[in-house]
Amino acid sequence: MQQMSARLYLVSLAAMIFAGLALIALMGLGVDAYGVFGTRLIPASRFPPQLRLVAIGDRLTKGLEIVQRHDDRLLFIGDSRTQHGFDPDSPALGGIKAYNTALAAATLSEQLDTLDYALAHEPSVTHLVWGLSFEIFPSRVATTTDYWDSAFAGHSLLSSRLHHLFAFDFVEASFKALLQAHKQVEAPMKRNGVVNFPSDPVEGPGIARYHDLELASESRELRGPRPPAEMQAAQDRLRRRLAELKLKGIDVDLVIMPVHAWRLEFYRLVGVETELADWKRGVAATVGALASAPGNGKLRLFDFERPHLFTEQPILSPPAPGERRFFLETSHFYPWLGDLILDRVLGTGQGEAGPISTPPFGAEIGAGGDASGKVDIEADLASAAAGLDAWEAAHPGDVSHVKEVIGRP
Amino acid sequence: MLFTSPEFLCVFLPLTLAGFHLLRLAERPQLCVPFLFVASMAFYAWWSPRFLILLAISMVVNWGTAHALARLAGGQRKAMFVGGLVWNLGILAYFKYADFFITSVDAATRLNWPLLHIVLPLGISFFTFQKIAYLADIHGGLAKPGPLIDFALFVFFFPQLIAGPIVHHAEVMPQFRAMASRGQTMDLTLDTAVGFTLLIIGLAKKVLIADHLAPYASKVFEIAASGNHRIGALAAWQGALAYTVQLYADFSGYSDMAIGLARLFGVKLPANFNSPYKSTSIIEFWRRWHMTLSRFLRDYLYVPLGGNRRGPIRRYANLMITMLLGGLWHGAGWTYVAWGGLHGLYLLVNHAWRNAFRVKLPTLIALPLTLLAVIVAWVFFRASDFTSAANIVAGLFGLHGAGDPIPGVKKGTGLILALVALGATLILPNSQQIMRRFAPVIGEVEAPAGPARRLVWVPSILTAALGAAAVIAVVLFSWGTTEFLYFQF
Repeated sequence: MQQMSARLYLVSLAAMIFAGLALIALMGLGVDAYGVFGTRLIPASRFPPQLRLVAIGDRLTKGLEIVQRHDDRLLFIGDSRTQHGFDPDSPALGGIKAYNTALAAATLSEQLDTLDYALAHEPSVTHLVWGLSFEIFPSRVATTTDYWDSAFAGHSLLSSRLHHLFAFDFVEASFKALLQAHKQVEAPMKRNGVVNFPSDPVEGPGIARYHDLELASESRELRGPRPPAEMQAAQDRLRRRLAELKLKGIDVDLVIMPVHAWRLEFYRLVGVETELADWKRGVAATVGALASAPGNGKLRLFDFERPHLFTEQPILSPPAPGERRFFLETSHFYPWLGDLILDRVLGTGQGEAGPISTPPFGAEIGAGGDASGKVDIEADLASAAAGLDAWEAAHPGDVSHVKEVIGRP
Repeated sequence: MLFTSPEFLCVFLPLTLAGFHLLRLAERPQLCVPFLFVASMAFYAWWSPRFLILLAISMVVNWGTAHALARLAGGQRKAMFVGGLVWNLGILAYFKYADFFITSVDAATRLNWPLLHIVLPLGISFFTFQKIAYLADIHGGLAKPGPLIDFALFVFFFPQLIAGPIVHHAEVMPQFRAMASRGQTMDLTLDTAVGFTLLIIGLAKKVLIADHLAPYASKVFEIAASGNHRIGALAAWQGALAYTVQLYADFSGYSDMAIGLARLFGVKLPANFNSPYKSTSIIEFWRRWHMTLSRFLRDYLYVPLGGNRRGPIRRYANLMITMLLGGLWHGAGWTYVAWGGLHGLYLLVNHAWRNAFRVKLPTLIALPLTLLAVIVAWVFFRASDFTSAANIVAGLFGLHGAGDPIPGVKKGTGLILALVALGATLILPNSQQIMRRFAPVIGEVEAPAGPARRLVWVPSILTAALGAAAVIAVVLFSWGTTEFLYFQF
């Protein structure tokens, strides 16, 4: 190894770093997998128009994408359940232009930041469908995501773009896209913000294991109850924001998102069922209290987190012929179940039809007994608990399996 | 500002370096020290301007105390020194230990005192020790107080401000004086090359090794903390080994960066790590791990307590007190105290063995035994409570058999990665050894043994290419980089 002068070494080092980064930038710009720059140096026909990435750059991508969008009327807000489950292209929307702002592991706090950002850039929005999940409702913004590097946290778009260009996920995907340019490359996320599921999952023993892993890895729930003060603070923040939205004339449909019966059983086993019920009561109380608040925006609450044929679909055995799996795993459902939910919430009657004999899925929460079909929150909770009792009695094998997975005797 | 952040690497560092070299080119070397002081204040203020004021006030108080100490004699001098100690330790105690004290009292008495929720000023544990050492040496007649600006830079110098190395005033203040006088007559090109290379090595350790192993360790410790799973052998070893390597790569990586950054300005810092996992005894481990902390604890705690001068029993007691306080220094929690206590116990056994048998175990036995003791202690260091630590330790020794299923552990990927990384730390030379031809740190650098001795850095096209590849890899993986573990201490 021939020694060189320190000055030449520094020059060589700088030149090679610059050359390497320039090469990466050129590849990224050429492929432009995020569609951020709109400079497709490689013929666009080589790539599907929705080529997108979903991984660490998710928040960065959506921060950029929201700025580029125009004339959306409906936004989906929420966490990964909303991100996976609600497709803005769903027929249930009846052609309304929509965008899915939801982000994996987004707590209420982060959802509010995202909402502020989206409304600031999209004044055309008049309606929100807001997916609520109990588990991370009061938590702080996750440190494991790219939130802190994103525009949602106040970073510039330039910073986001640089981040895109030089993140390993992007480089890897760009490189793969280049290698597969002669094929159609499936993107994990569509341009409208929803995760792309091109087909049903492959059936086999792996399916049950996938459910197991997801359930067992949910360490957040295993840590016991969330601090009541934090839960109350989150409820207060939600109430304030809903009041503001009503005042602005924006309609909001709050949707307590469905989970698989295994997960409902899991809540019961780890002792958070009462806490979950109290959380639902809190949200229902907020909606009730805001009914008389000033403003023209409509506010409704739906609860889909309950045993039902869709959420009780067997995991340990393959679905019946012609039936699709509704759940990716116990926490996340597929967009075809999302279509049914959106159809119920938006009432367009355009969604994909469920089995003919299926009882109504989900309930609108409100003062019970009126002709609107609303259900009182206490009746809703009692019905959900009774449904879970019945499921337990009918599925002892599943109950034992959940116990085993989460390490509870 | 993290050393790995784009703000630091793309804005702060280039601007500071440019300003520094412009002053030298303009024949204004006397302004280099004030300039670096201001830059270092900006570095700290980026995190918290409020605590910058605290740090500045504390710096002025210490400098005033030092000068008063130099003028006073007898009882007044002693009282002034005690006052200085109370000031520094009082600040540390308030910010770092007040809530720990309240929690402990609450647990023991059920008084339910409310917590103060005090935010810990970044680096307080490190700069407090540096100032105490300064006062102690002036009180002991070993040093004389210098100019305010030199002392200010000694306290604030940004490469070592947040997480060390814990620099001794006698090591850097003369270098600051020299910096102020030499101007452009001294060529810093080689220092720059050495500095950047050390910075790259540190960045690679942090971003490519520590941050990649962190999820494997965290997964196991978080599941253990949940209290619902018995941690099996595979999971326990994955968690413990991944953390063992993560902590080393993280902290030694930070130290490499600090040493490299200081060298960019022509300042040499002391070594902080010397391949600690190659130790064949716990005594040796503490000569190789966080060396500047060990030195401080030895010189300013163990020796003043009496050291080994008052018989074996007193010596062992002093050793245990030093290690318990060393544990508490790392964190306001009983698990840290337990970690320090465990190492105190290890040291007692090590010394007792040496005194009783005077037989050195073969390396093949001594090294794994030492490593095992260190790994078990790290479990207490990392665990959030004693129950989860016991859960993992039981798993390490096979008491839980295969344990309960934990996702991602069965494949053993984390364990394999941790083993490979640990193997590398045992085989490869450390950063100082790689750079030893160019005296990267203050003092002698031990030559690596065996084939590793060939892995020596010289400026060449190959090392430039390796450095560039490492930088590019760091850039690709640095998004979402976590904070350095030792920032919390």
